[in-house]
Amino acid sequence: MGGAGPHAAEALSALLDAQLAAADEQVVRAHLAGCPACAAELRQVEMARSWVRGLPPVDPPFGFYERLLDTPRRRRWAAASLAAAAAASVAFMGVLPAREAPVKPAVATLIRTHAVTASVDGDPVSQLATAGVPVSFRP
Amino acid sequence: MKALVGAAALAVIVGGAAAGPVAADSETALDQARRSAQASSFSGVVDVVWRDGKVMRERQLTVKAAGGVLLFGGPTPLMALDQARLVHEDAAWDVLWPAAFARLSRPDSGTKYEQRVSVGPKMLGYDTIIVDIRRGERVRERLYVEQFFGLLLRREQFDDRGRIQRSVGFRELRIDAAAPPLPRPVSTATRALRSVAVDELHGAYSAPVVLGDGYRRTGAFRQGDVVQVVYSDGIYDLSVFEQRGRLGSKAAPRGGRPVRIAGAKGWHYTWPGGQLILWQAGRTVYTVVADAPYDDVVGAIRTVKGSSGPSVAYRFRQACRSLVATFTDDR
Amino acid sequence: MADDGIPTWEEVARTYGRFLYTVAYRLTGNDDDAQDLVQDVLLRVRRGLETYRPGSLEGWLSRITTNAFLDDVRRRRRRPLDALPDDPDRAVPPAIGADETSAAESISDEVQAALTHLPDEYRAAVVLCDVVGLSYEEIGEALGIPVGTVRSRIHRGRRQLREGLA
Repeated sequence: MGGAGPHAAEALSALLDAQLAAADEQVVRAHLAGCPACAAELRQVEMARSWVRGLPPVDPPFGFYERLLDTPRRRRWAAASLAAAAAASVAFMGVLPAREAPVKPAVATLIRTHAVTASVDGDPVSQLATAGVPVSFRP
Repeated sequence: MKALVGAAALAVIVGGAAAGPVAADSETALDQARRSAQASSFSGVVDVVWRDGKVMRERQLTVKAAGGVLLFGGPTPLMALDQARLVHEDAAWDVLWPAAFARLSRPDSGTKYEQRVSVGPKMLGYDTIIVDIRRGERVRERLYVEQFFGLLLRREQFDDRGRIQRSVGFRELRIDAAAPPLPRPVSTATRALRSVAVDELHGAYSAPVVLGDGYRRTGAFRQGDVVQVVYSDGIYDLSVFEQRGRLGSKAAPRGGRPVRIAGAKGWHYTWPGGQLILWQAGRTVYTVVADAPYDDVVGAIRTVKGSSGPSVAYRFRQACRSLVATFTDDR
Repeated sequence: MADDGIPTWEEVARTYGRFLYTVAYRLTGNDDDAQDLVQDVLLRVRRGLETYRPGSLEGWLSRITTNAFLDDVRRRRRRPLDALPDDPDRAVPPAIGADETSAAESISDEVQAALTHLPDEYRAAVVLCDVVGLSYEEIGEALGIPVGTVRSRIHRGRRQLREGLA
């Protein structure tokens, strides 16, 4: 066990992460009781540890996985890797869909839907007025 | 009747112009404007102005309100019936938003925006207060609020150079507390709009809890095969519409400006209420409709941040365990 | 959506993809590199399937992710940490005098920035411990180093983090 000689040093992190053997843990705690310098360092390191542990999950930008999994060349290998990892490879290969049907977003309707949604909790006059103007995008 | 723009603003009004700008209290001026629009009776004409590229465009709409009914004229009349929203199409009233839907609760805008109140000009014969909604040093929106009833008379949005991007304001207004209530539609059809719990989306649609730039998810809806995930930053709303399929070669309306969003080719349009950005990612077509200026919107959708759900370590281990289970089952 | 217990294609990508992306983002510190890393990892997962042995899955996936990360770092010159990132998505140049909003808008961003400033080996150890939650032994297996080195890198990484966020 290193680091519990004159000062605890790296054993402090191991203590926080519960990675010390029981006997070693006792030694480190005993040392901490009488060493303000190590107690102070423990607090600092514990702070950094809790900040990183408090970081939230991160979502990729919209469409990242759709694009990744959609490239025709990649579709087969990506399907193979994840499907094999999920141990359902045969089923996956079989359910890869054919090319999707073309879609034309009803832009005027979507605009109105959004404006209506925003007007419910916002100012109805200014929000609904913008929805009441017919939609046209002149080049 | 109490001043509707907050106690601090009342001090400004009572104290006179010398009092100077003060911060409004935490309920936004927009919340109060909403309540007053629902409670007031008036009729008038509204100017809708917006910048489209280099050009300013404008339209007028007539509007009437009384007894909880707010009605916009025009080729496709729109109605606010208390909480509900209806549109008159094909000789019938359709419910776009049912009264039964719970209100979407907006996040607190306090960390991103600051509101400052000052005495405003006389507008259409009414005394006003100006509420400036600032982001950092810049004024993003300016609201002209009529002092007595709290009705929003005019609203302006500014770009980073201080030019008006868009505005909605009364050009004629008669507030008439004694006006008789407007008739309510007798029968209405409800479109197949469903509020969905995000869990129902089964991970098939993107619905992160938090976007960049302070936007938080406030609700999700489905109509047919289109899912709408709604976000708000406390002042502005943003809807992400998601639809399975591929954009056909002529599917994007003409008049869009080509842009790149997260590595994909997309199109940007301006509408009277804000921005619209449309792009394809894999087998999903995204249409983002948003009230904020363009740069803010792009900032929000490019950087999707995380939520504070179960810790990453916990979920990773759960995922690993299920992977291990499927492997060992297979042997 | 499948109803026979087999997850759909999209569900698998999203369920596991979010974890992969989180780890990749915490390791690299930015979206562009995180995306590249995730793609790289998926490629390696497929190629490395023959070497998988049940029971070491967490170490296996972590080793792939951190190896991909460290290989990439060694392979190319590291992006200068203080330079503004390239912004190919911005089609319109910012208006004159536009606000340059600080990147660290929240505590998470600040912690991530300090994390990104750590030397790569320290960062990898701290991420595997505090983001993924592996034991020192698993981390040692993932990085190919003894447990003592794991402990030392984690401790020094945390101390440097704390100094960076003073």
